[in-house]
Amino acid sequence: MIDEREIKPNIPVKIPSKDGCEANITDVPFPVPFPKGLVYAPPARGTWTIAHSPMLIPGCHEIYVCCPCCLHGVVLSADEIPDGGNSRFSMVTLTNENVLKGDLEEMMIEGVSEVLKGLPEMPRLVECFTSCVQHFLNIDLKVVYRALRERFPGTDFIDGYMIPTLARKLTPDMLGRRQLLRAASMKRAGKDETLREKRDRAVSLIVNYYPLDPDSELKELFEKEDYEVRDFASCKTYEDYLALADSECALVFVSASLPAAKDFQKQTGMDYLYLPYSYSFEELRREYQTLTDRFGLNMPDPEEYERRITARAREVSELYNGTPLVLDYTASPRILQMALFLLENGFQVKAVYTDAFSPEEEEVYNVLREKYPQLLIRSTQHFKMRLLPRDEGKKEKLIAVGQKAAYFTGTDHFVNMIENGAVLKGDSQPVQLYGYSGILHFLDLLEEAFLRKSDVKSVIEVKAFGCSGRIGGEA
Amino acid sequence: MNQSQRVLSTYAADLFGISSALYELGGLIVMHDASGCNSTYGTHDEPRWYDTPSMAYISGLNEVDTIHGNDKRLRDNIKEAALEMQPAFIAISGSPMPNVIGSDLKSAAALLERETGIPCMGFRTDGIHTYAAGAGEAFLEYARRFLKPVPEEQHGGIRVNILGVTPLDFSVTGNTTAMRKILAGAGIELISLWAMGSSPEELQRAPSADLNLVVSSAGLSAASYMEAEFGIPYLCMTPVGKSGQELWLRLIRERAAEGKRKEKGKLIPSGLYGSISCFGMSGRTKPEEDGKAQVLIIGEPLISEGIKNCLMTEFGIEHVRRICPLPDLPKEAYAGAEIVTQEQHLARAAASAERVIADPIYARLLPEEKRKAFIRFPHEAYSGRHYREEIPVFTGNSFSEWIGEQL
Amino acid sequence: MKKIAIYGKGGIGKSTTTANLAAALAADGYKVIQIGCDPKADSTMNLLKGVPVQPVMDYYRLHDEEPDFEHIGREGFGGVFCIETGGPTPGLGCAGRGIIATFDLLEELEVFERIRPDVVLYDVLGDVVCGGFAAPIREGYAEEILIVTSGEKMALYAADNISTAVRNFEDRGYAHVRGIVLNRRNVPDEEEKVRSFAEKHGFPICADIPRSDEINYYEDRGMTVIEGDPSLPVSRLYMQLARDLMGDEKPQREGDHE
Repeated sequence: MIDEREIKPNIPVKIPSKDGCEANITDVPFPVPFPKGLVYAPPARGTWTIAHSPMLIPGCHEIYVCCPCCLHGVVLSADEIPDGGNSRFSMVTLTNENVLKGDLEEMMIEGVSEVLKGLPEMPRLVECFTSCVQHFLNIDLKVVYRALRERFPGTDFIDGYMIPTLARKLTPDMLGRRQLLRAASMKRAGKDETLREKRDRAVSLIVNYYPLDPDSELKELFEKEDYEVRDFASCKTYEDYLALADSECALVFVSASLPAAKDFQKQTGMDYLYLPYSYSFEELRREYQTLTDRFGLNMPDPEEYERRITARAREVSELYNGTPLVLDYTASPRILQMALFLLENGFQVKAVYTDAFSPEEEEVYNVLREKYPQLLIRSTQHFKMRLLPRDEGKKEKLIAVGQKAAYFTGTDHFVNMIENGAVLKGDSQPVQLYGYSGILHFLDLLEEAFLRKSDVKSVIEVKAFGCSGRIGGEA
Repeated sequence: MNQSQRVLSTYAADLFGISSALYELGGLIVMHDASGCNSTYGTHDEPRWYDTPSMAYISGLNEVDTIHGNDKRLRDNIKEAALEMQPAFIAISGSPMPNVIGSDLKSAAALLERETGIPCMGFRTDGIHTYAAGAGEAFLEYARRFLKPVPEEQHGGIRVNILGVTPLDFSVTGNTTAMRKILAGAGIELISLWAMGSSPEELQRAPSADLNLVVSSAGLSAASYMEAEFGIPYLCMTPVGKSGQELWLRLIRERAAEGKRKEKGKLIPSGLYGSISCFGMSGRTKPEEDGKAQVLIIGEPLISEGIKNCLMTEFGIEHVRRICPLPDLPKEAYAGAEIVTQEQHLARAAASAERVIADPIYARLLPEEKRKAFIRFPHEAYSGRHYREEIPVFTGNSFSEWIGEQL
Repeated sequence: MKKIAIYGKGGIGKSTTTANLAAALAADGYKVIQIGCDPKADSTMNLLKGVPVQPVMDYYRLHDEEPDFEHIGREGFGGVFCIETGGPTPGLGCAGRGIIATFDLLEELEVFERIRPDVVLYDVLGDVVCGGFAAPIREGYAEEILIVTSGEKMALYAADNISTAVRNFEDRGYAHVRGIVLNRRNVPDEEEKVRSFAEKHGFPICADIPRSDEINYYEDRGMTVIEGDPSLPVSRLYMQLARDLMGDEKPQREGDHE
């Protein structure tokens, strides 16, 4: 028996008030609901990390060049990825010596070379990551990558960045997604003109971390018209990844991928369409209209889908019978829209956890304020969130959508959804839920969460779906 | 110098050591860094994070504040939180960026202390040193700030403190429970355990002990401080296995019988201000000739010394080699362990030994066919929570049985 | 132990002032350590017959390890122990960290404990720039600051910046300004300009050093004027400054002999 004092120590803390970290939607400003102070990092991360996403490119080896404290997190995140995530990850440790000497370029060139020479096989692609300190001291990455490309001509290099302190225009997530496509776009930009002009009858889904749900009507529509759907998240070979740059058009589902799409367009001339995940019938109709106009697809029958969704929503909400729901921003980039959809379909949404609203949701924010002024907005990172009791879900039955909402309420019933991706019943890998079929699947997941308990702690302690995303394919 | 690591991990950094050491003591602990970076501490290295709230935060440092060396926002945010939550103390530790511009968090702490009236400690961490140096510094500073001399009182029996305990070295798998039991079973009174499962009030009674028991390198600086300040002698040993437990108890009785010291000792600084703090972890020490070690142990030096003693006395293994990859501990901690930090040297040492006892990540240094000879001894500070379930209770009797099965 | 930091605009004569002050203190029997905190590493040259000491950062760059006590510095005129922090290759790395790293090393090698100086002089580059350049005036280091300036506009401007920085640090328990050393460049109304600056800030003028060819003459020979000719009027000014700064404090070594 382990002594209580070892596993449940009694730490003297004072329970704070909820002022400043929870309020009705009518009382919080847009787009930043709460003032920012000391930051609490809850154990439920939800979203993917910088160490996970490059693993989606088959044959990519990651090399981090950072201080030990930054390395520790990424190396352990990479280590969690099953099937050899750790064998595709190396690092070069930056120390005070390098800061003093200023040999930042040399240490990186030599360190990365040393790693690559020692690998059993030369990787097709290497993404190196530099950190805040090097950029603060103005490392000359041109020198570094020129030298690396000369030394290893058979390998492509991506300049990755792990620079949260220096984040300005782009969030670390946006920058990460943008860089992930750089090897593909550089390859295409390097081709001669005649080859560059030729494009495949295909669309590329960029940059999502889960493959599109194979049952999605979107996929069906494209395939009916002989369009290949190339999905960043389900590349099986490095060639598949490179071919993302040869399609007619790119499709983007999340706003965080927009800088990537814009960059892709700049480098390769490929158009893109932004088709956000949506819980609004009106917006979905518009999105499908755009697609049919652009590609000459057959428009799905929106009324039929809307009717099915409404009926299914009624069914599930009757099962819920007023049981409250709490949502968090990691579950979907359109979290307010999701809340509105649920509220309008007979569900009882009690609170939404978020520290910032998406600029795209201002209109929905205003509708919610007007129609559902009781809706609570809660912070996830405010310092008080650390100490407020997490027992709401213990006191009453409560369903959470998203890992953070589950963590903060202590509920056993939750939909494990990350960025509109989830593992569907009978599957083992998460898929992204887009369009009408996406909403229908979401309703199935809500039903399942109501009926079944899950071991929340063991699920959410591991980042990014227990890393069960399809990692790397067959390199 | 080779700074690349193809397969190995890194140890938790100094600022995590600070947080881990002070976690249970009711203070407001702030890592001065951008948000995100050091969430690693909570998501991988702190087993108490999920279920046991403690006021540990990240400051959310940004570029403009870094360039200007501006710590006003940091202080304002801390003041806001401190006002609301009334912590027993405030601790601020720095990350690589404040380190590069030479931020003086000690003076920021002094300023905050004046402004809030709450005891405030600033740590010159850099995110480059290891957790053990950080934890050592945190325990030392806590002792300096909170321990007051206690009047001598007559008491029967022996009173001790255990120093240098964090989950980063001892996890939450029963190691502190075992140490408590060993002492209780021998009728030795444990005043405080630094710092797991003891209240701040218990820690503050530490000066009434007859002897300090340092069980990991993180406890050395605080022990030498208490020796210098209160004359409390210390015993430096992790009781591993049956033989270790017996030896520990015997030495505790002998050392306690010698009584308190009259002369002032010399303070052992923790690793943070040592030479390596100037130049980082270059791992300049050359490893020994890779002879034919029967067993190689890689890890924290006091614990590896404990394992070595157990293997030698109980299993008759003659040649046990110890390697410590933490280069920034107080010198006294190593006690014969070689300091090796570079991957290629570690790989050579591992390949030349018959058996290796180390965190499972080190097994990657070995070719597949040699991994059978590898004994998995997970170290939370190295692999986080990944292999926590495999961590044995290594303090006390039960380790003998466990290692016997592995050998 | 008295610890004084000397700040001022680059090229204004900080190193000359510091070296002469060190020499004057040494001539009075005080044990002095002079630490040049400037990547140029030329602070102590004139105490060393023009043969520079190897800067700590240079040693490190060449040997890939930090120097031991034997290699940290060298004794020069009058037993002044000369140390130069040096810095990274120009244009690279972080010079401020070089200063901090050197200070850490001095602490670790217990340089002050071994040498037991009466006075430590820190000669610090130009204006306060990054945290590293303020390190000499942090708690535990210099308690007093001398600002060297002429009557030139830019020198006074720099002096003003330095005093602002020092004022900002006041509530952190950093060093305070002891006074001004006027190092004349013979600009019009020089004394008046400097005096009005000093009065505005409430700083005394601790020394008024005229422009002197003798200083240049002896510097060309790798010496301070104190070493070259202690009887010169300018040498006597430095001697007076040394005595004013030390007040009643007697050299420890005298005590040792008694």
